[in-house]
Amino acid sequence: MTTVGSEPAVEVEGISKRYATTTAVADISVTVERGEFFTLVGPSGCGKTTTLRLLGGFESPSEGTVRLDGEDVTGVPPEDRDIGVVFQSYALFPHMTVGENVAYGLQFTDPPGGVSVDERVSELLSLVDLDGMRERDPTALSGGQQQRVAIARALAPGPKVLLLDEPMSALDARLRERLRLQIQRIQEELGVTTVYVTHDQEEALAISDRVAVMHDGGLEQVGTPRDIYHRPATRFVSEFIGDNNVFSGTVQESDSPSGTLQVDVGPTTVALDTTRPDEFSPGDDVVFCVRPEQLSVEEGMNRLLTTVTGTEFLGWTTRHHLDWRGQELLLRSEHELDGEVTVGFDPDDAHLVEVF
Amino acid sequence: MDDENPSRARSRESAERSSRDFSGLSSRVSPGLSSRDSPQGDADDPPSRYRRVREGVERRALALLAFGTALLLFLFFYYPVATVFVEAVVVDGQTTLGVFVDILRDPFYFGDLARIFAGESPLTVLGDFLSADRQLGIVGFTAYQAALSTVASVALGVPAAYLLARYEFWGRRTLRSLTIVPFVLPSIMVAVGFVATFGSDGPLNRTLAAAGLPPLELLFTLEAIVIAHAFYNAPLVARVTTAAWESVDASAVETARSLGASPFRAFRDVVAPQLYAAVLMGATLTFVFTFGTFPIVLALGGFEFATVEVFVYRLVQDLNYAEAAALALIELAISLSVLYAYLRYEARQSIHSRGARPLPRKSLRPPSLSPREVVPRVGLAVYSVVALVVFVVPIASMIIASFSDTGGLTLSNYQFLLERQAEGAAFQVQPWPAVRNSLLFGVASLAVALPVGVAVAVLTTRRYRGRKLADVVTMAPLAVSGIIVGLGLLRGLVFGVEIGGTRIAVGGALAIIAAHAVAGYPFVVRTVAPGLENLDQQLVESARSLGASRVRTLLDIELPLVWPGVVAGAAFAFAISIGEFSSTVILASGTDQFTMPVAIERFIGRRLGPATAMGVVLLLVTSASFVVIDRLGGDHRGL
Repeated sequence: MTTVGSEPAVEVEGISKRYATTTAVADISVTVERGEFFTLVGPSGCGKTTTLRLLGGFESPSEGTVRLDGEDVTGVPPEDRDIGVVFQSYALFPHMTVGENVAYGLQFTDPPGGVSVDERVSELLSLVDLDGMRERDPTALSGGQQQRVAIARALAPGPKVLLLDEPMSALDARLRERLRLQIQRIQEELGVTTVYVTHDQEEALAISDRVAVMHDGGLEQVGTPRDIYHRPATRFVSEFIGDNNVFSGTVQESDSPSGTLQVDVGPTTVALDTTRPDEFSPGDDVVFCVRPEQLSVEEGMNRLLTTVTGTEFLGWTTRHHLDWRGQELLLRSEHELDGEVTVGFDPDDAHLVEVF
Repeated sequence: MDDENPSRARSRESAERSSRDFSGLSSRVSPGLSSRDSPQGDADDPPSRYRRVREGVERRALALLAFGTALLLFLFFYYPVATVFVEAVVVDGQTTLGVFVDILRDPFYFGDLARIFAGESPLTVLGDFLSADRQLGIVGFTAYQAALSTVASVALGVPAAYLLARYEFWGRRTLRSLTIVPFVLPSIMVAVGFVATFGSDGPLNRTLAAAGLPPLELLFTLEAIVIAHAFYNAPLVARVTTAAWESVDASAVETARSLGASPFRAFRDVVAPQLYAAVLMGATLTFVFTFGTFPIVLALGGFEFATVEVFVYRLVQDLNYAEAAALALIELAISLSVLYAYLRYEARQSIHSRGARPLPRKSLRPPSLSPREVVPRVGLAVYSVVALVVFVVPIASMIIASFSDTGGLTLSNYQFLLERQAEGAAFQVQPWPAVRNSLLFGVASLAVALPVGVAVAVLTTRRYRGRKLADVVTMAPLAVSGIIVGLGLLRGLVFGVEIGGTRIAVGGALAIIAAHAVAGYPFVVRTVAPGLENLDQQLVESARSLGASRVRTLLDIELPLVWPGVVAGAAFAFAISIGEFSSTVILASGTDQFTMPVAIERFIGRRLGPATAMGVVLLLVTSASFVVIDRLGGDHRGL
């Protein structure tokens, strides 16, 4: 039921947020389409929460504009923005019942769809599978239930945009996985534009239509989860999203017709495939990465001689830590490995990240 | 860098996803979810206009509240205090520091120290000062009695902290709560208790007489003043020290012991360093409070002993306002310097170990008969007898005295309170109006102090530039004595100000209410602000994101959640008003605006019976406030 409109739901244009001594967000521009599930992911302190707070109007940007549904809301207080927010702590009003919490926002706006406040509250509670919990004291609920009340409360007035600020971080791993499916399901059902903030890259990949990776207050890459995982645009993204082996080297030879580069990585030369061989010339420094699942033992065109330094049995796979000329490599393999091991990868398993 | 990355893939992905089966979860929810706009509500509809007006008011309400509070503070605190200051430096239209210099050089005020200000060599003055017949002067005596009172308060307070922090016994929690009582007990009532105890007919001398011993004349002696001050301030010392002791982490002590320290060494090296700061804080506050002492010395000092504050009061009564103002400012300067020095020290100390696991409490019954177990408990037993005499006997004597006269048990003292004296001149103190006025002023000043205190709490817990300054400006009334505020209100507003040829004067009753409100609202701030500070900011932000204005959020979310603090603050403010003496006695002189504390002071020398009866009424009112504060007060570490 995603509604398609002419204007993007959220447009952020060149926003920065500077504090006395630090810059939390530096010149970010991004557009979120209507009905999209959009995630901001990055390590703590990267500016993702500040960006969300700028969208919500809890902070005002030092520079730049925020538009919701085409309307410039920069400087508009949160209560006039038509947003719904779910915070990390859920922030349920402890002196109100579950029902009163969900109904709170309906004092300031009429329930959408022409229904009564009462009906709207029932609708939302049933949406989050909390029928019959209306009279409960929210502080007596479990973490997962509290989170669902917070979502119902945020959605009740029919906001244009739903903002979720690390709503999973207070929950244990197993519950997190179950609830993220539920959030995805609710978002899908209502088609509400959602901006989600998390530090958990796995969660970001699992839940989103598109992901923006943030680092040091800036955007590193915006794209679909598959894009981000398979074609990281920067060294930071390649290291932050998933396990990865990142190499630096110097181009020796660029063969345009075949799209193959010969790259010198120290003791040996490796062959890499690229779709844009014309951009490289001999002598360029490059960064490329190979996912641990794409490294294999005694196979592949490019071979590296490594020493095993550690093995972690993870159940569904086994992760080996290898030492290659002082650099740590990761390899997934069910083989028992010990001592010196030659690992390899094919030219099309490597992804070129950056050129200098 | 890559934010322009077009996501065609996105539409493909979401198409993929919509085609997935979501276990029959079709549109259970009404359509139109993504729009909050309702069809009705044209701009000219009356309800919509009403809503807009209301929203406009709500939007500005916080600013209005801030403005009103600032205006009130200016009118009833800063302007009056500034009046006092001007009074001290402007004589006959000339700006001069002459009044200050005269006071500093007057041996009557500064004793031998005055000769230094007059230009004598500090060495010869020091020589005389160390000799037996030194002269202290009024300021010197004030500092001397404050120092003695501080020593007595620490001596009486620290053992109480030891008892409360390290032993478990029946009633420990109640006893700990009772240490808040001095904040609400009117000092003039405490004075009545001491007069009732130590008077020639009091329980002390009757006990001595029964034992065949000569009577002890404690009334109107320095000892009486010091003991009364200890009654007042030892609980404060005990309170802060107990809190520090309870925050000592048991594992730190256990670590020291495991490293080879004896119990004594572990105490000296680990526990004691964490107590010094607390004891010093208690001592500093005690010194400052007792340096500015007024009702206790006025009632217990007789003619012989007068502190600076008492003398300021006498100067006001003699209409010598310039000298009174200058003296009051010198007193304020001394108090503030001591406080400032302490705060500087405190800023450098930063032991804030919130002990994860406090030291275990011991039983009062010794587990064995070894000296190590028995000696401290015997010490505590001796201490509790002393504490009983200092803390319980005065209150008990007051209650007993209120029910007795020369002929035995009687209610006549209470009947007297309800009488409107038929005979007697107009200037005589009338008991019933005093009771009535006290309650009236209490309610009226509460009505001012509560909103002002809440507003200040809201405005000082938000983060913005200049918040520290706002904090200092709004908490200043805690540091300025009631005499100065009273004097300022008297000279500024009661006598009237000329504005554009019109004389504007405020009635005495209104000035008293203002003075009480100024004295009381910092306590509202102190009880409300910690709650607001600890409130999850995301609660506020959630309410705002749901459409509530800032003020609606305050009314719907914040105040309901800190309600206990608001009620406790109200109880504080009411109790402070009921017991306030210093500014009231200045503003009420010569009028029929006496309150109970002022009436008690008038009665105390002549008719002890009615004074004790009034003291008991004050005790009841303030005890009720204490119960409210204790039940609801939550966190008032700051007091």
